[in-house]
Amino acid sequence: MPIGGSAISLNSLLDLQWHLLVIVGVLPVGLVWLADKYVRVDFLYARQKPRWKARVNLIGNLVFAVPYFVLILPEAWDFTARAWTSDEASRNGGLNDLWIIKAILPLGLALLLLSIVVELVRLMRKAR
Amino acid sequence: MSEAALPLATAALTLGGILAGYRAGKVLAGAAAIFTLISDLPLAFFNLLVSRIYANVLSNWLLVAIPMFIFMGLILETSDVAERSLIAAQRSLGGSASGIGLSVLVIGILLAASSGIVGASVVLLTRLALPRLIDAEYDNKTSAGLVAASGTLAILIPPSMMLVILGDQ
Repeated sequence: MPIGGSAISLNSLLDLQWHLLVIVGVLPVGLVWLADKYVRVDFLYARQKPRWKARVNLIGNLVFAVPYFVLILPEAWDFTARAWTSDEASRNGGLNDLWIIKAILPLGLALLLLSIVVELVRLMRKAR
Repeated sequence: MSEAALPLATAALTLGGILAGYRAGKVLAGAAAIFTLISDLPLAFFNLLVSRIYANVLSNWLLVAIPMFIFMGLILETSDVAERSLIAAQRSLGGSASGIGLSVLVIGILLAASSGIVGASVVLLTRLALPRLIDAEYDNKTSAGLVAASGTLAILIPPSMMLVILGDQ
Protein backbone atom coordinates (compact mmCIF):
# COMPACT_ATOMS: atom_id res chain seq x y z
CA MET A 1 0.00 0.00 0.00
CA PRO A 2 1.53 3.36 -0.95
CA ILE A 3 1.82 5.91 1.82
CA GLY A 4 -0.30 8.51 0.05
CA GLY A 5 -3.34 6.23 -0.39
CA SER A 6 -5.15 6.29 -3.72
CA ALA A 7 -4.88 10.02 -4.39
CA ILE A 8 -3.38 13.22 -2.99
CA SER A 9 -6.04 14.91 -0.90
CA LEU A 10 -6.13 18.03 1.24
CA ASN A 11 -5.96 15.88 4.35
CA SER A 12 -2.88 14.02 3.17
CA LEU A 13 -1.16 17.36 2.55
CA LEU A 14 -2.19 18.53 6.04
CA ASP A 15 -0.71 15.33 7.45
CA LEU A 16 2.44 15.86 5.43
CA GLN A 17 2.91 19.23 7.16
CA TRP A 18 3.25 17.80 10.64
CA HIS A 19 5.11 14.72 9.39
CA LEU A 20 7.81 17.04 8.04
CA LEU A 21 7.80 19.03 11.28
CA VAL A 22 8.32 15.82 13.28
CA ILE A 23 11.27 14.85 11.09
CA VAL A 24 12.81 18.32 11.40
CA GLY A 25 12.11 18.53 15.13
CA VAL A 26 12.94 15.05 16.43
CA LEU A 27 15.89 13.76 14.41
CA PRO A 28 18.39 16.53 15.31
CA VAL A 29 17.87 16.26 19.11
CA GLY A 30 21.13 14.32 19.48
CA LEU A 31 23.11 16.98 17.64
CA VAL A 32 21.47 19.72 19.72
CA TRP A 33 22.48 17.76 22.83
CA LEU A 34 26.11 17.54 21.70
CA ALA A 35 26.13 21.25 20.84
CA ASP A 36 24.93 21.85 24.44
CA LYS A 37 21.95 23.97 23.39
CA TYR A 38 19.42 22.49 25.83
CA VAL A 39 17.72 24.81 28.31
CA ARG A 40 19.55 25.10 31.62
CA VAL A 41 18.91 27.16 34.73
CA ASP A 42 22.43 28.49 34.74
CA PHE A 43 22.62 31.35 37.24
CA LEU A 44 24.80 29.11 39.44
CA TYR A 45 26.13 26.81 36.73
CA ALA A 46 27.59 29.58 34.53
CA ARG A 47 29.99 30.70 37.31
CA GLN A 48 31.51 27.26 37.93
CA LYS A 49 34.85 25.95 36.72
CA PRO A 50 34.91 23.64 33.66
CA ARG A 51 35.77 20.66 35.85
CA TRP A 52 32.75 21.25 38.08
CA LYS A 53 30.51 21.65 35.03
CA ALA A 54 31.79 18.37 33.65
CA ARG A 55 30.97 16.69 36.96
CA VAL A 56 27.43 18.10 37.00
CA ASN A 57 26.88 16.81 33.47
CA LEU A 58 28.44 13.43 34.21
CA ILE A 59 26.32 12.82 37.31
CA GLY A 60 23.24 14.25 35.60
CA ASN A 61 23.67 11.95 32.62
CA LEU A 62 23.98 8.92 34.85
CA VAL A 63 21.23 9.83 37.34
CA PHE A 64 18.62 11.45 35.10
CA ALA A 65 19.18 10.50 31.47
CA VAL A 66 20.00 6.80 31.76
CA PRO A 67 16.90 5.68 33.78
CA TYR A 68 14.68 7.73 31.52
CA PHE A 69 16.00 6.08 28.37
CA VAL A 70 15.94 2.62 29.91
CA LEU A 71 12.21 3.08 30.52
CA ILE A 72 11.11 5.03 27.48
CA LEU A 73 13.03 3.38 24.62
CA PRO A 74 11.30 -0.05 24.82
CA GLU A 75 7.93 1.66 25.15
CA ALA A 76 8.57 3.91 22.15
CA TRP A 77 9.63 0.84 20.19
CA ASP A 78 6.45 -1.04 21.21
CA PHE A 79 4.40 1.97 20.19
CA THR A 80 5.89 1.88 16.70
CA ALA A 81 5.60 -1.91 16.48
CA ARG A 82 1.89 -1.73 17.36
CA ALA A 83 1.32 0.73 14.52
CA TRP A 84 3.26 -1.60 12.19
CA THR A 85 1.41 -4.82 13.12
CA SER A 86 -2.04 -3.21 13.04
CA ASP A 87 -1.17 -1.37 9.79
CA GLU A 88 -2.44 1.84 11.33
CA ALA A 89 -3.52 4.57 8.94
CA SER A 90 -4.78 8.11 9.33
CA ARG A 91 -8.29 8.38 10.77
CA ASN A 92 -9.30 11.25 8.52
CA GLY A 93 -8.26 10.10 5.07
CA GLY A 94 -4.75 11.51 5.32
CA LEU A 95 -1.49 9.66 4.91
CA ASN A 96 -1.43 5.90 5.40
CA ASP A 97 1.41 3.97 7.08
CA LEU A 98 1.55 5.88 10.35
CA TRP A 99 4.34 3.55 11.54
CA ILE A 100 6.82 5.55 9.47
CA ILE A 101 6.26 8.73 11.43
CA LYS A 102 5.91 6.84 14.70
CA ALA A 103 9.29 5.19 14.04
CA ILE A 104 10.87 8.67 14.09
CA LEU A 105 10.25 8.84 17.86
CA PRO A 106 12.31 5.75 18.89
CA LEU A 107 14.88 6.66 16.22
CA GLY A 108 15.29 10.18 17.56
CA LEU A 109 15.46 8.91 21.16
CA ALA A 110 18.07 6.33 20.16
CA LEU A 111 20.16 9.03 18.46
CA LEU A 112 19.84 11.14 21.61
CA LEU A 113 20.99 8.19 23.74
CA LEU A 114 23.94 7.69 21.38
CA SER A 115 24.99 11.31 21.73
CA ILE A 116 24.62 11.06 25.51
CA VAL A 117 26.98 8.06 25.48
CA VAL A 118 29.43 10.04 23.33
CA GLU A 119 29.20 12.93 25.79
CA LEU A 120 29.71 10.56 28.73
CA VAL A 121 32.98 9.32 27.28
CA ARG A 122 34.17 12.90 26.71
CA LEU A 123 33.07 13.97 30.21
CA MET A 124 34.88 11.14 31.95
CA ARG A 125 38.13 12.61 30.69
CA LYS A 126 37.20 16.17 31.64
CA ALA A 127 35.74 15.50 35.08
CA ARG A 128 38.96 14.12 36.48
CA MET B 1 6.09 9.01 57.29
CA SER B 2 6.90 7.06 54.18
CA GLU B 3 3.97 8.57 52.25
CA ALA B 4 5.45 12.04 52.72
CA ALA B 5 9.06 10.99 52.18
CA LEU B 6 8.84 9.92 48.53
CA PRO B 7 7.11 13.03 47.15
CA LEU B 8 9.48 15.24 49.13
CA ALA B 9 12.46 13.31 47.79
CA THR B 10 11.10 13.73 44.23
CA ALA B 11 10.75 17.48 44.70
CA ALA B 12 14.22 17.74 46.28
CA LEU B 13 15.87 15.78 43.47
CA THR B 14 14.09 17.81 40.77
CA LEU B 15 14.90 21.15 42.37
CA GLY B 16 18.49 20.12 43.11
CA GLY B 17 19.07 18.93 39.57
CA ILE B 18 17.65 22.07 38.02
CA LEU B 19 19.57 24.42 40.31
CA ALA B 20 22.80 22.48 39.75
CA GLY B 21 22.46 23.47 36.11
CA TYR B 22 21.79 20.15 34.44
CA ARG B 23 19.53 20.28 31.35
CA ALA B 24 16.14 21.14 32.83
CA GLY B 25 14.01 18.96 30.55
CA LYS B 26 16.02 15.85 31.31
CA VAL B 27 15.95 16.58 35.05
CA LEU B 28 12.13 16.47 34.95
CA ALA B 29 12.06 13.34 32.79
CA GLY B 30 14.77 11.59 34.78
CA ALA B 31 13.30 12.36 38.21
CA ALA B 32 9.98 10.98 37.00
CA ALA B 33 11.70 7.83 35.72
CA ILE B 34 13.70 7.22 38.90
CA PHE B 35 10.73 7.62 41.21
CA THR B 36 8.51 5.49 38.99
CA LEU B 37 11.05 2.72 39.56
CA ILE B 38 11.61 3.38 43.28
CA SER B 39 7.96 3.76 44.28
CA ASP B 40 6.94 0.64 42.35
CA LEU B 41 4.40 2.38 40.12
CA PRO B 42 3.21 0.39 37.08
CA LEU B 43 5.54 0.92 34.13
CA ALA B 44 2.46 1.33 31.94
CA PHE B 45 2.75 5.02 32.80
CA PHE B 46 5.64 5.19 30.37
CA ASN B 47 3.51 3.58 27.72
CA LEU B 48 1.05 6.40 28.36
CA LEU B 49 3.85 8.96 28.19
CA VAL B 50 4.83 7.83 24.69
CA SER B 51 1.27 8.10 23.41
CA ARG B 52 0.95 11.54 25.04
CA ILE B 53 4.12 12.72 23.32
CA TYR B 54 2.80 11.47 20.02
CA ALA B 55 -0.75 12.78 20.36
CA ASN B 56 -0.09 16.18 21.98
CA VAL B 57 3.26 17.25 20.55
CA LEU B 58 4.23 15.32 17.45
CA SER B 59 0.86 15.14 15.70
CA ASN B 60 -0.04 18.70 16.66
CA TRP B 61 -0.20 20.69 13.45
CA LEU B 62 -0.52 23.97 15.36
CA LEU B 63 3.21 23.72 16.10
CA VAL B 64 3.95 23.81 12.36
CA ALA B 65 3.62 27.59 12.74
CA ILE B 66 6.82 27.84 14.81
CA PRO B 67 9.44 27.00 12.14
CA MET B 68 7.46 29.21 9.76
CA PHE B 69 7.79 32.16 12.17
CA ILE B 70 11.53 31.59 12.46
CA PHE B 71 11.81 31.37 8.67
CA MET B 72 9.88 34.62 8.30
CA GLY B 73 12.17 36.41 10.75
CA LEU B 74 15.25 35.14 8.93
CA ILE B 75 13.87 36.27 5.56
CA LEU B 76 13.14 39.75 6.93
CA GLU B 77 16.68 39.97 8.25
CA THR B 78 18.74 38.51 5.40
CA SER B 79 16.78 40.13 2.57
CA ASP B 80 17.25 43.63 4.07
CA VAL B 81 13.49 44.21 3.91
CA ALA B 82 13.51 45.33 7.53
CA GLU B 83 16.35 47.77 6.99
CA ARG B 84 14.80 49.28 3.89
CA SER B 85 11.39 49.63 5.52
CA LEU B 86 13.08 51.38 8.43
CA ILE B 87 14.61 53.89 6.02
CA ALA B 88 11.27 54.28 4.24
CA ALA B 89 9.41 54.91 7.50
CA GLN B 90 12.04 57.43 8.52
CA ARG B 91 11.77 59.38 5.25
CA SER B 92 7.99 59.32 5.24
CA LEU B 93 8.05 60.88 8.72
CA GLY B 94 10.10 63.78 7.38
CA GLY B 95 13.56 62.67 8.43
CA SER B 96 13.51 64.72 11.60
CA ALA B 97 15.11 63.51 14.83
CA SER B 98 11.78 62.67 16.45
CA GLY B 99 10.73 60.95 13.22
CA ILE B 100 13.55 58.44 13.66
CA GLY B 101 12.29 57.49 17.11
CA LEU B 102 8.74 57.08 15.83
CA SER B 103 9.88 55.05 12.81
CA VAL B 104 11.75 52.61 15.08
CA LEU B 105 8.50 52.07 16.98
CA VAL B 106 6.57 51.58 13.70
CA ILE B 107 9.10 49.03 12.42
CA GLY B 108 8.97 47.29 15.80
CA ILE B 109 5.22 46.86 15.36
CA LEU B 110 5.70 45.64 11.76
CA LEU B 111 8.31 43.08 12.79
CA ALA B 112 6.15 42.00 15.73
CA ALA B 113 3.17 41.32 13.53
CA SER B 114 5.17 39.37 10.97
CA SER B 115 7.82 37.40 12.84
CA GLY B 116 6.58 37.10 16.42
CA ILE B 117 9.85 36.13 18.11
CA VAL B 118 11.22 38.43 20.77
CA GLY B 119 14.87 37.46 20.31
CA ALA B 120 14.81 37.96 16.57
CA SER B 121 13.17 41.36 16.55
CA VAL B 122 15.25 42.74 19.43
CA VAL B 123 18.48 41.63 17.76
CA LEU B 124 17.34 43.00 14.41
CA LEU B 125 16.33 46.38 15.84
CA THR B 126 19.54 46.63 17.84
CA ARG B 127 21.62 46.10 14.73
CA LEU B 128 19.53 48.31 12.44
CA ALA B 129 18.06 51.06 14.54
CA LEU B 130 20.45 51.64 17.41
CA PRO B 131 23.26 53.16 15.28
CA ARG B 132 20.73 55.46 13.60
CA LEU B 133 19.29 56.58 16.91
CA ILE B 134 22.75 57.34 18.26
CA ASP B 135 23.65 59.20 15.05
CA ALA B 136 20.52 61.31 15.54
CA GLU B 137 21.89 62.24 18.96
CA TYR B 138 19.40 60.38 21.10
CA ASP B 139 21.07 59.62 24.41
CA ASN B 140 22.05 56.01 25.11
CA LYS B 141 19.37 55.35 27.71
CA THR B 142 16.50 56.55 25.53
CA SER B 143 17.63 54.70 22.43
CA ALA B 144 18.26 51.43 24.30
CA GLY B 145 14.86 51.71 25.97
CA LEU B 146 13.13 52.43 22.69
CA VAL B 147 14.75 49.44 20.99
CA ALA B 148 13.97 47.12 23.88
CA ALA B 149 10.36 48.27 24.14
CA SER B 150 9.55 48.09 20.44
CA GLY B 151 11.42 44.79 20.08
CA THR B 152 9.51 43.05 22.85
CA LEU B 153 6.21 44.08 21.28
CA ALA B 154 6.68 40.88 19.27
CA ILE B 155 5.05 38.67 21.89
CA LEU B 156 2.11 41.01 22.39
CA ILE B 157 0.88 41.52 18.84
CA PRO B 158 -1.19 38.47 17.94
CA PRO B 159 0.57 36.26 15.44
CA SER B 160 3.36 35.50 17.90
CA MET B 161 5.11 32.32 18.91
CA MET B 162 4.32 32.61 22.59
CA LEU B 163 0.60 32.96 21.89
CA VAL B 164 0.73 29.90 19.62
CA ILE B 165 2.21 27.83 22.45
CA LEU B 166 -0.15 29.27 25.07
CA GLY B 167 -3.14 28.81 22.79
CA ASP B 168 -2.25 25.15 22.37
CA GLN B 169 -2.78 24.33 26.04
